[in-house]
Amino acid sequence: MMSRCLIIASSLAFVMVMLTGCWDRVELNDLALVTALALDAGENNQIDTTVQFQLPRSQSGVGGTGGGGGGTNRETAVRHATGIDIADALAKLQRELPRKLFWGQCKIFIFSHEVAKQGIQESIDFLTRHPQPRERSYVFVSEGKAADTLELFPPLERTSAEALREISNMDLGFKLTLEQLSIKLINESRAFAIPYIHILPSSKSAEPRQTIAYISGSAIMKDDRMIGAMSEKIMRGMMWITDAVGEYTVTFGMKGSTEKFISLKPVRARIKLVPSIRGDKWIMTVKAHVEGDMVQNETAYNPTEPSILSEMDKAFEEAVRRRIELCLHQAQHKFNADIFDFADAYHRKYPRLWEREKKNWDQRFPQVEVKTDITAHITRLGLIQAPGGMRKEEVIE
Amino acid sequence: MVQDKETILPIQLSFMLYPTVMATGFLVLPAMGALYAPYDFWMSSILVIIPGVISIVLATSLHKRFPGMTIIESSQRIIGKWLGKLVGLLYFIYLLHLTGVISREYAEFVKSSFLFDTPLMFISCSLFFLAACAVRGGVSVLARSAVIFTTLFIMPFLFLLLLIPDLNWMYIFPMLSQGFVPVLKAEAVPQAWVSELFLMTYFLPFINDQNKAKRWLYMVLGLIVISMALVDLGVLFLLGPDTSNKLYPILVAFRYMSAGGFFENLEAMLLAMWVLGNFVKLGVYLYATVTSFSQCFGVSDYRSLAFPIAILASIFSLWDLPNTATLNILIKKVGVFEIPLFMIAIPLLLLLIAWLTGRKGTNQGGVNG
Repeated sequence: MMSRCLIIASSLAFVMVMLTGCWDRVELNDLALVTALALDAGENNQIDTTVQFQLPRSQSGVGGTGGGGGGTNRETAVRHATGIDIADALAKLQRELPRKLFWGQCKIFIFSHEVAKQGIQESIDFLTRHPQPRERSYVFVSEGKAADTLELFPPLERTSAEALREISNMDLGFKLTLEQLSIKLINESRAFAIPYIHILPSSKSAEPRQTIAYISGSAIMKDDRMIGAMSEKIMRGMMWITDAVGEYTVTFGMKGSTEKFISLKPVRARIKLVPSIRGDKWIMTVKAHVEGDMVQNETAYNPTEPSILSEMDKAFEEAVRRRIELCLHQAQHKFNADIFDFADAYHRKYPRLWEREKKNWDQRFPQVEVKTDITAHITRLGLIQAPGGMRKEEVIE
Repeated sequence: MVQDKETILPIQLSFMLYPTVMATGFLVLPAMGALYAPYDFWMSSILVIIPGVISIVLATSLHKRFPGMTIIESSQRIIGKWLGKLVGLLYFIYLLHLTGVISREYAEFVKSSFLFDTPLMFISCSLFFLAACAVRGGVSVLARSAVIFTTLFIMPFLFLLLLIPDLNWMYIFPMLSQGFVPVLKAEAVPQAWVSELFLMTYFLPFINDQNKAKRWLYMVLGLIVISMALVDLGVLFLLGPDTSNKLYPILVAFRYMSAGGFFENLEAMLLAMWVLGNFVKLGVYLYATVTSFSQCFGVSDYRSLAFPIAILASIFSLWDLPNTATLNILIKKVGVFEIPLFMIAIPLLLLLIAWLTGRKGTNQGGVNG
């Protein structure tokens, strides 16, 4: 009986010791919750890391009441340090911070334009090797200094990192996670695009830094180096080809009109890349089946008329084709960068041939003949039929 | 012969054997296969049926010929007492080493991804302590705890479904672009893992209904094949060509999960299943090691050996393994030969000798008496 009591007591004591988490116990108030990491080029080929971390609620103050801080509600602060590589820089940064950096909540990594031009492979090694940074975090290239995008205080979200993450989550534009980037770095096409972010000019009534960074266009990467930037308009073509249009709005003119437009939202697309090889000619057929719902019709045409609707369908089709071709032209002839992963499509269909030919892909890619095979349909017209607010006699039936 | 009246049910045996293969398998195998066949390694998880069936047939037919005996006892009948004891000693030493390697694998994952500051020895010893407790409690305690823990071990697999929106089915192509040879190479490590099913030889004597046991054994093999294929395909569709570069692809998969924006950071679940699965696996291995020793040296009560041998095995977990790279090479280059040697080749040889000499087990009590 006695010994049983002893066993129970000692095992309880043992469990109690274990439950504290032993060596890896961390208190929340010993941690600095990193929300974003920005990488800039330092002097002498060094790297400049900037972390944005969240200030604990109690310290952030409520909107700087009584002047001083002004209207900005600052919930984040940044620190930066320069080092030979990221690990070294972060170690130095940690020395200047009373709390331990915690990466579990860090969902944003931003490379500056300059770092991206020098190559990002070394940085990706750190981010994917280190057990804390999360593979699902989003990666961006910034137009100017990456650190600047962290010193913004968004009016809506708590941190500028959170604002960027929410924008990416919204399925409107192009996004890339760390793991996707890691895959793209080793895939067959040797080229890819990373979302390119800019600082939104702050509105008139706001403080200068009371704004966010937003995604517009993409940085075109070849191997692991940035070779140029693509504008948002052209980038949209890439999103059609890679089947990532999301919930975007498409606006186009009827019969080549540049004054009166039709807008569709949301648009849905099913894209298929069909590679083929005829003799020495490599052909890629982009098969697209796209649908959209009308949200605005500036023209005088009545879309309920089947013949007019089919003409609108044709204009829609033409609009998609134009976008695709615009982007293709830039990718093939300006950048010579296969950001559409055509290479993977060839690799899948002609694995053996591809093994022999892949070293020539750089010469081959600009010469790939791309055919588009698009069927476009406007599926719904919204709540009205004929153009809204227009007299019956003006409507073209 | 069975030393006391302990029995286990066939279903309990299958609950013990599933994590014996899968507990470390699902974490380590995808990357090892992807190294050789970057897009086709999932096929190797189907091919493991072959070594799986072989080891089940070997173990059950050895047991049929020598009822109530483990391989340690039957080998003494087949090739004589002293040679048989030598084989038993080999099994003891090898299983001791393998138990050490498994606990090292277990501890390395916990340390490298979760408990960075906790000493390695502490992580492995705490699991050894629990496993030794279970083994000391006897085979039925081990079996019953396996039923509970294996159930909990399987459940997190369902969370892989959360990854469906992130999967890219196209990574299944190109199929067999380099022919079938890379798939066979990728098969090297999984076949070693599945041949560990042979450890059932240590538990078959406790089962009353051998025919039913056979049914359950094939069922668990089927389940192992299905779950390996699912894990492989899930990882392939998520990581594509990047799979081979990850040390633990399934860890990335669990970290990648996100449902509704708030259901994230699920790797803690992975850690939980890792601990539970490895508890059962380590328990099974420790039991096999302890039984090998006791039956080889004629120790009447294996239970008292549980703790000393656990301590010995924990030393083996550090011995000659200076770093994780060596551990990986050990698994990749050495394990693929030595595990099948003990789990398939030696039993096969013994069975052949028994068949040629016509020796059979009788019911007049084991050699240990």
